[in-house]
Amino acid sequence: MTAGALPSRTAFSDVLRPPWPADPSAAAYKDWLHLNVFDHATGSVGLLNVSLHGAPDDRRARAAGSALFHVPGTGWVGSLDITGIADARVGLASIALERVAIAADGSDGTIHASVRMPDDALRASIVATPAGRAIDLQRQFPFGSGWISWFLVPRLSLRGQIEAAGRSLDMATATAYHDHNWGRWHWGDDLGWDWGTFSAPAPGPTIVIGRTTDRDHRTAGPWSMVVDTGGTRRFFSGEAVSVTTTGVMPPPQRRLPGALAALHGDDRAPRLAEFVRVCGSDGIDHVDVEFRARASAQIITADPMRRGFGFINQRVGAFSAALSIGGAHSEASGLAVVEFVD
Amino acid sequence: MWIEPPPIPCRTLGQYITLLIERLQAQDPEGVARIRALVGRRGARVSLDDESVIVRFARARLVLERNGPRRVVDGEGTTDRQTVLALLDGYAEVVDVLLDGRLAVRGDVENIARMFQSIEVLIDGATRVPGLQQLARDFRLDPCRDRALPHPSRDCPPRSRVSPSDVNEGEMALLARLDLVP
Repeated sequence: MTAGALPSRTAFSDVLRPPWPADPSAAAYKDWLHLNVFDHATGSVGLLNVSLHGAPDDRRARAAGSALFHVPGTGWVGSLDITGIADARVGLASIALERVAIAADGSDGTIHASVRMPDDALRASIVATPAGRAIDLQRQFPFGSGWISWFLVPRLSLRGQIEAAGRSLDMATATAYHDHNWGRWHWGDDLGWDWGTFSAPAPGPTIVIGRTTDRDHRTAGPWSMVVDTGGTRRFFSGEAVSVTTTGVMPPPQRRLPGALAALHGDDRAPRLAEFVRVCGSDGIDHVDVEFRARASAQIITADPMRRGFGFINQRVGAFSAALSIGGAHSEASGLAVVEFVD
Repeated sequence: MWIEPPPIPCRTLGQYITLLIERLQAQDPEGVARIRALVGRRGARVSLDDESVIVRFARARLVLERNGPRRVVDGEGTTDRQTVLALLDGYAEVVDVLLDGRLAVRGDVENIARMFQSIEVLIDGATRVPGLQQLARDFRLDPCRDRALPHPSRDCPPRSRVSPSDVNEGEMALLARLDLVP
């Protein structure tokens, strides 16, 4: 199949989910568009995110946009913007701030992202095209005081330009991951999540894992794992997935926004594992992933409607994997992002 | 699909401080009340690069006074624009800039604690007051002030780590400066 024919019907219908008027849960509204970029030529990993927090008609409600690239040998470049929702440009499936914007084009499923942060050594203008089907989890998963839903496109190819730390990244071999989360919860609720995406250069596989947890990650929902090889997709869940961690990362090199980092000095050294091993096995297919983190960054989210904070700890690094899918054995390696949120 | 920013005015340090309190008062009056309760009648000298003002509350209102060498204050905070930008953009942690002297705070222990608590109230309120976030952006883009300097490569963790078994040179220098090394 050609890339243009791949997006499923759901890929065309994904839009932001603002609350209806008079929705009693509107204050807990959250919505975000997320794009990870994996530049296999340089080992650079990008984290792009735009998000809405709080009832859109409440003057306290905020829009946030972050663009961070980890460039080997340089470190993190990019930054984060926060503004009132009224000062952002919010479309059917797009959120634009002054320095970062992401839009989903419903006509072909492409994701468009722009970044202009010259003072933070990052500029980008890219288009990500689905190279596999989308996964649309419309179900409202219990999450903190509310719920969360998830739409994701594990595999995308890229075109455009990215200049990070003074060097142009090669989009020809880069890959991407996109997701859209929405729901109702307050930062500071008793919530967290574990999530990761492992992306090999095309035509290699993309592997995504995730689960929701409580804040201290002692009570957790079942793991979900999807392995997308382009032509084949396998799901593992619950007992079919095991995740083990070892080692401890040094403190995050960047914490944003800086004002909240200053407010939360006690959280500057979260206990983040350096090594993560993920095994998926349902008795027929088997996947074994080994990830080693090389850097981390912490995004601190403040709830605009009531006092509460969340900490999104992002680790970037490399992975290797052994797969046995449908009787075919293969090996893969690439770049990954693994999140620990509390 | 970018948002074009409105023109950013030139502002003095005193104008920024006044706007911080005014905008917090407009949307989080309890926050300002907490700051007033914390500082009482105390006055502090705030210095940024070559600007200095003295701030205090009088009759529940923020008052800015002209700085002078003979003005008696209860506390002082001194830093520079690049340090503020580095903190805002997450390139430096408060502990780091205190240890290397880029942020200097003077006063007795109680007054310093009250200054930091007031700043915490201000930052906490800023998370729910978009006007304060906008002010941070204005400060970054202020056309009458220097642009942010490029940040050095930093692919290693923040150098200052506070641990009983891991006291680094910066911490030892700070303790020595305060005559606290046994």
